[in-house]
Amino acid sequence: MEIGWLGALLMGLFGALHCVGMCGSIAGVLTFSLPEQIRNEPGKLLGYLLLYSGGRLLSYALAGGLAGTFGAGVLLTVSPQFGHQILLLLATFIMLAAGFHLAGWFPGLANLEKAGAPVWSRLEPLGRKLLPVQRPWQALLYGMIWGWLPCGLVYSALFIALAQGGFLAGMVFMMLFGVGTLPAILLTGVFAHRFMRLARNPRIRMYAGLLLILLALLTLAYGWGRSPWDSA
Amino acid sequence: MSQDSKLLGDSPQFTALLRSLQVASATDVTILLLGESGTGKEQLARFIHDNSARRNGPFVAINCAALPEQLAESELFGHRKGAFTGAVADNPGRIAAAAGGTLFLDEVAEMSAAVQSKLLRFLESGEYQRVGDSACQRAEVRIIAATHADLPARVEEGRFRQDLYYRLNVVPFQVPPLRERAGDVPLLIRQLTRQLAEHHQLEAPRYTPEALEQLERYSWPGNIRELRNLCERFLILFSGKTVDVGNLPAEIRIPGRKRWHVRLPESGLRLEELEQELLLQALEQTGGNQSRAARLLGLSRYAFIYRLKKYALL
Repeated sequence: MEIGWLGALLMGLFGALHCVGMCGSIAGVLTFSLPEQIRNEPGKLLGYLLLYSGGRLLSYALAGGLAGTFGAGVLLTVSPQFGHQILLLLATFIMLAAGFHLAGWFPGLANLEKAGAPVWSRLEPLGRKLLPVQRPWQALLYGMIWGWLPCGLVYSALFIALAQGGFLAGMVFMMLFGVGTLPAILLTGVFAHRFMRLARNPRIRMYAGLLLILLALLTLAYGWGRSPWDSA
Repeated sequence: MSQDSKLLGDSPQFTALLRSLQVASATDVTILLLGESGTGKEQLARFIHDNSARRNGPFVAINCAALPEQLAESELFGHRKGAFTGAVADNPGRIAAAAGGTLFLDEVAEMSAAVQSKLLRFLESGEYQRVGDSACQRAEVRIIAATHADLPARVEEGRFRQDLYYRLNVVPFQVPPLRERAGDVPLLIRQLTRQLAEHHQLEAPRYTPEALEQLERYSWPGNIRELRNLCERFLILFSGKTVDVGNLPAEIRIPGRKRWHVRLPESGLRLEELEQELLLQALEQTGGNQSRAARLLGLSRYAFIYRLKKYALL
């Protein structure tokens, strides 16, 4: 597997600790607002939870595809020779920032969330009309809206998706990032309180942050001499 | 974000919480708000209510810590006339008052065992009995509970029912303390000062950027409640027009200076008894070493012994 893609998966997996406060609670609300007959059947419940997250991942993938296209099209036009290196440096810088943020050493990254607030204020009322969810398509649609919830970590991943070289690569990167968030989000939906305590543990957050920092440096070292457009 | 939410704060930590509460408000899920005292949990509960389909119904708040144990049951569930001495008229209770709306149970960890058990029954079946009434009542109410206590620890200690904990802890939300809300202190100072100035019909003082910076560095153990009190104090008692660093209280002006938050019991206490207790605890902690005990209390050995003699503890 590409180290960049492994990075996306791990960034989602460990970065999701940061999201537990907001997305974890939303996952809990969405789980417990389902009708009782769905909640009482584990198979059905899991299906609905996967639909919520599936919708979220679809939105991530769409945003990743757009970011990949933008990165490939615009930035490489600006500098075809050094475009890849510039984007890789940008991606490394953002991933480092996400690592420092997760470890609690750079709270400023959360300000990125303000950028997405106008989009969310338009989408949130649409999502509200789908709640409480009664049908599978509502869960999928709500998940797609949920995917646009302002989140510093998702925006960091999107910046990295810029460097992926095109629509498909950007899409895969964000999809894998989303897959990485699944364990945390699915677990918080059911074991909210226990998981919230774990995620608030500064030591655990610090280790997760350090891992992202290491991953960012590895991605830079591995990707510096290679261009994603070479293999495309 | 609505105008209401703007009133509360603008930091990423707080707006993230408001966004998730907005989602929660579109459902009827029981919410548990966790956070330190003074973080504005009641305003957040009201925010959920105002953004929910129940916004036209009543919002009833009850502080479980402020209710005397013998009154809590009748206050929450109601009573019939003559149910006990002093029950001179029927009282429908707060649950009935919240029917079709939201019931906010603040400081829920402080509930007595008897009330916990009745509340559990209500949460499970939607039914309850008024004190002195054999008939069952029903009410359709959304519950939002809040506490600053460590509920799992209370459960372990046997002071809070585990089954009730699971019923209330459906979706917990952690309310960030003011010190973790980057940039919110200056915003809140401006808004609170403006509101309080209108209320008291007084001219609002200005805060210099240096004073605001110092205020933002302070840890605010009492959170928004403490901030509001400070704004009110400056509005009413400060004779100048501009608050500078030098005008701030010592615990804010001098970093590292601790401010103790000991809650004075409603029944009051005798200061001398408290002093004796601290003297004894210092001696206990140091195994009777008077010099070290004196240092623990910030006293000279001479002053420490003087106090021991004063209270005949020596």
